Amino acid sequence: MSDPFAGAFAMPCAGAARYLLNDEGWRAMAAAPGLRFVAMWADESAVIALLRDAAGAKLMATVAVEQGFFPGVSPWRPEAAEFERMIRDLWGYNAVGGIDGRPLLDFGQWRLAHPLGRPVAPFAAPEPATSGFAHKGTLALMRGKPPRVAARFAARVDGGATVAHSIAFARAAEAAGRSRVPPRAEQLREMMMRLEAVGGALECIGRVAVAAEAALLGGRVAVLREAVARTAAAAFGHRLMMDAVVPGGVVADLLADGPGALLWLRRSVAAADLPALLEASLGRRLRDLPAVGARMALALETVAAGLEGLGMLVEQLEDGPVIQAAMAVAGEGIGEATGPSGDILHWLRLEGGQIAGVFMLDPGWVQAGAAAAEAAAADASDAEIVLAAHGILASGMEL
Amino acid sequence: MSALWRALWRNLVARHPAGPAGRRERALLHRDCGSCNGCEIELRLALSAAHDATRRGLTLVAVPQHADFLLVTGPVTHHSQAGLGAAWDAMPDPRLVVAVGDCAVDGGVFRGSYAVAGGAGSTLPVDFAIRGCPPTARQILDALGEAG
Ligand code: SF4
Repeated sequence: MSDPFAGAFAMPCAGAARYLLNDEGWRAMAAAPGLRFVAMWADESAVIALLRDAAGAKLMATVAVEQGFFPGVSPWRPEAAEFERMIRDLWGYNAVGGIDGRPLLDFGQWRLAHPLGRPVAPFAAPEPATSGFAHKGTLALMRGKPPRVAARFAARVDGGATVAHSIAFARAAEAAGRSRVPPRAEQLREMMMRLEAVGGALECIGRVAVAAEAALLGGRVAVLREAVARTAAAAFGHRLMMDAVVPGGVVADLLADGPGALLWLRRSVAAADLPALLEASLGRRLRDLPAVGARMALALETVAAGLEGLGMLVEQLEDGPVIQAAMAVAGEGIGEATGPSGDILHWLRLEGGQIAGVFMLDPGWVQAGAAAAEAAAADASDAEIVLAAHGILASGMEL
Repeated sequence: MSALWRALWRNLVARHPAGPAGRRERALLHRDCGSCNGCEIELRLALSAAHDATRRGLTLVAVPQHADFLLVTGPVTHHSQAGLGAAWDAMPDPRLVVAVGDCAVDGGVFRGSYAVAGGAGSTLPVDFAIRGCPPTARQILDALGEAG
């Protein structure tokens, strides 16, 4: 098969090439064996697919929406079906040949249909809601706002990954606005991201402890999670570090109590000896659940490596400003960050200094499939533990 | 402190006589109506060993029939209204609604969205509102009448 992108028009998107394809090129993209499908969303009269090539490089494909229709990707790639359902519910664009026509988010209870598409008359067809309860209309609330204001919504996609989502959003805005972040701000972001990862890893262990009814482990982990929240408040002014990262940098410098609090946290975690506690409480159980065991090992590693990295970062902090607010008013870009449960990617398009199009890809999309498969393979009595180890959040996917 | 709160308090104490340690059991039902999970992180900490939850006599229950307090988190989305109302209807008297976090108080940053009805007050009579995005574990406990 020929390269679906050969000769296609490349649109300027900072961070990944975005190719404009015709229907035929789009179908060739959908069928191309060398490409891995990652995600799909929509913009004004267009659908955008994010892919990775054989070398792992990101590629974006775009096809025009004609009369509300675009060629479906799911006939070739079933993993695209949920994204097609979301696009239909939010933008009102229909995937021709799509393998699953059911709604994903909209069960007829919103004040308008296709909130991100062109204005359409509201319809009334109430059906019992089965899912979509966490859909808050976040993308629509972000449109028409300057990035600095819209950042508050990116920070509220997932409270446990608020730093990572804020960084991905800020990076997308900075890429679109061709602005550079001061080195000290980058370092402070890295510190916050690591601290958030430590908190997330502890929560992951805590969830498994609760599901497995390991009360002692659950209690000890909760005490440490509380210590992380206190450290975050002492160092960055908020227990979850919500709204601390904004396009251009960070809102405030490391607080005076920060270094001391980080040192205290490191000592508290070391004193708790989590690896031994985990082994004593759940060791035998986890040997029967290798996937959960691997996740627990990864969580322990995240805690240890995160705290060590934080110690180093404090010492290496460069002097200088923490924000650089100037930004171009038009452009398009993507930004990435690593959250406690996986990779996060934001795409946004700026026009006149305001957000014209935006999508936030939560790791839940990737994780949900893996978690369901693992849970289905486990004994019924263990399924809860398997799901606890994943901790998938509706808000992240449903936006 | 409102008269309603005091009345409910007396009733709860009567219904759950104080044990040897003077502890009053209170059963909390939590309903996430579209939260970002930030409020849940604080709520879980408030009800964990990190804040001595068992000594405070606070326990989470899974079914409305056993609950004294209904804790609501998240902006109440249109999709979650029916489920929230059903939980409330199934709770025995006396019962209280506590809105936990800015979203549950008035919709928070999501107020005005096509998918959001508003705070818990859009659906239920709210007795206590705990502001904050999210409120800290300590603020939640204070509001539940125990800490400080
Ligand atoms: S109040 Fe804040 S932390 Fe709580 S659910 Fe709303 S956005 Fe999240």
